[in-house]
Amino acid sequence: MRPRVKQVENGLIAALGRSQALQEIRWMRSELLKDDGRRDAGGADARLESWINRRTAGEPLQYILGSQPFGPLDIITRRPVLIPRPETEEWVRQLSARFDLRARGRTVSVLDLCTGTGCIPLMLCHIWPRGQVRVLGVDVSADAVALAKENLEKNGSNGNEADFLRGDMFDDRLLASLSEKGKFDIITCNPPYIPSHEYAKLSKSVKEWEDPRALVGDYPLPEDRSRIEEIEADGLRFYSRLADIIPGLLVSKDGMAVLEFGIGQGSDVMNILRHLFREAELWKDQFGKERAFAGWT
Amino acid sequence: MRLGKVGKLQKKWSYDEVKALLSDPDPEIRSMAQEDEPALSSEVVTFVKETLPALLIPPSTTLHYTALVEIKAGVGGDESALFAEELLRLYSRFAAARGWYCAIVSQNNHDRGGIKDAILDVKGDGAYDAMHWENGVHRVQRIPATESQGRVHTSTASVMVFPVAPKTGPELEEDIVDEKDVRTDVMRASGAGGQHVNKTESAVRLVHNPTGITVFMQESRSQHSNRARAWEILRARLLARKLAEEADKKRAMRKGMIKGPDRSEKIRTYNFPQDRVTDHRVGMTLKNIEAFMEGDRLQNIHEALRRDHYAAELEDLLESATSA
Repeated sequence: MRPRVKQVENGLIAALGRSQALQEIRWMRSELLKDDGRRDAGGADARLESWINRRTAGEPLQYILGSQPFGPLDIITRRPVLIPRPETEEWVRQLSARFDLRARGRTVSVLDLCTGTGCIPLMLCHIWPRGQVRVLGVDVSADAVALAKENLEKNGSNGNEADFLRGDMFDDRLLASLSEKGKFDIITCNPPYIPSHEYAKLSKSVKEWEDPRALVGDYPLPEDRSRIEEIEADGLRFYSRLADIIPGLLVSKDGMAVLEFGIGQGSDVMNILRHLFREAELWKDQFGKERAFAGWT
Repeated sequence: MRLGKVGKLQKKWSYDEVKALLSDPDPEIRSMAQEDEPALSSEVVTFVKETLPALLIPPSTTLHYTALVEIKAGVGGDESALFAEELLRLYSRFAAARGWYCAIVSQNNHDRGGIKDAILDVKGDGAYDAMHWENGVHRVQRIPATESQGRVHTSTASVMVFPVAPKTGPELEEDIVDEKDVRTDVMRASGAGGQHVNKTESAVRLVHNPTGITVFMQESRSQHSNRARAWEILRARLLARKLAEEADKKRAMRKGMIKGPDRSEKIRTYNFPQDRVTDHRVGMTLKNIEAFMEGDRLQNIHEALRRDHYAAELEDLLESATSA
């Protein structure tokens, strides 16, 4: 190994700790081997060095490598669209197991709000059988919608129908156009839920790289990002909006909604949404933390 | 004429009868018997060494098992890490030549080249039955590139081969592990998680309480696939243990003479200065180490081991039959 690579490695070790840094460097190396089979050693070394430097400066690994595994999929990740989290993958898996697709005997429709990379509806397309679902993902960010479409292109939809469109869930005109399509059997949403006072304390790789509109649970956010910390938000703004719009979008019988929330927000979210459903549960993630609200109509 | 029949109905004549004719007073009969003897004798040998054991010894119960092959650098520092990597390459080539699926499940590189350890997934009919002959310590003797005095160093790498039972098909077996017995440790167990964190902490550790077997997997950026892999490895370790216990029991019942596998046993030496590979279990030496490392001749050793194993099993069977 060239001494310069060794030197930048030490920088990353200082930033992340030894075992995490070495593991990330291994992932970078295997990615480099993957995309140039030519094994252009000099070029690969230079790229590795620049990747390690970017990571040391705080850029998320997933933006550097350009992808993140999510269920059976390899999701393209690009600044500033929110990187898919493993906790989300977990509840999507749980949702797919708890919703009895076969009992319907017809195509099931799914609406995913705040879709980001499109990882949630695309994973449902892939873990459920071919031709059984129709999914629609909506996001307020043009970057997100473009990336979700790329992810659809890359991963395919497993013979299911998938589409993404740009729209603001706080805009009643979006609701009007969505209701024209008829009601949905399933609504999923991983809305921004971080309270503004916690936003200030997030790590650089989250705060400086991912879209605050995908993180901070308030609406609308000030144009000037430095003022985010001044707003008085509890991170729950999106759940009250969801409570307003779900009745107009979700089938009133045998429908299901699954919504992700942040640490310690379970009981608040339950209070906001419980009355809309026949039954409701809070699901834990793989780390034992309450992570998602599930309601059945 | 009687001897004419020997030629025609060779198979009907017992070897003993022909053997008796070798000392017949008639020189003509003797010479004809001499002519027939070698073919018959080799037929008898084939029958005793191959047909009979195949008939007597029950077919492999692990024929459809695939293999997880774990290679670890042993004594000898840098040399040992380099050799471990060469073994990894040898097995990959061997598997590819047999038309088996072969993939590296995990790999930890050594800072100065080579590997500390690696796990290879080998899938295909007979993969476990072939690869399990590689269980044990492999010894390499050569002059390291960095050795200025030109001295021959001896280093080792160890190989452990674990069976993976088929997940589908008629041989589907009961799950070897009760999920209640397994504790799962994950990273990121503390902290807020979710949108608050985007660091990739996908490592998974499984601890099997009854046996204390621990599996740690961090190869993938997906926690889910690390978990799935860790379970696969845990099952393979438990299955290896079960097979070893069953074999021990069988041996005890037959007061047998076949030695059980010993993981710490030196099974093979790769001597570069003498350009040879010697398998100590069958005392077989092959020249041209470079060709051997290409994977072409590993099968010759496996065949010799299998014949040797058959012979020992047969002897064992006869022993227990006569003493019963």
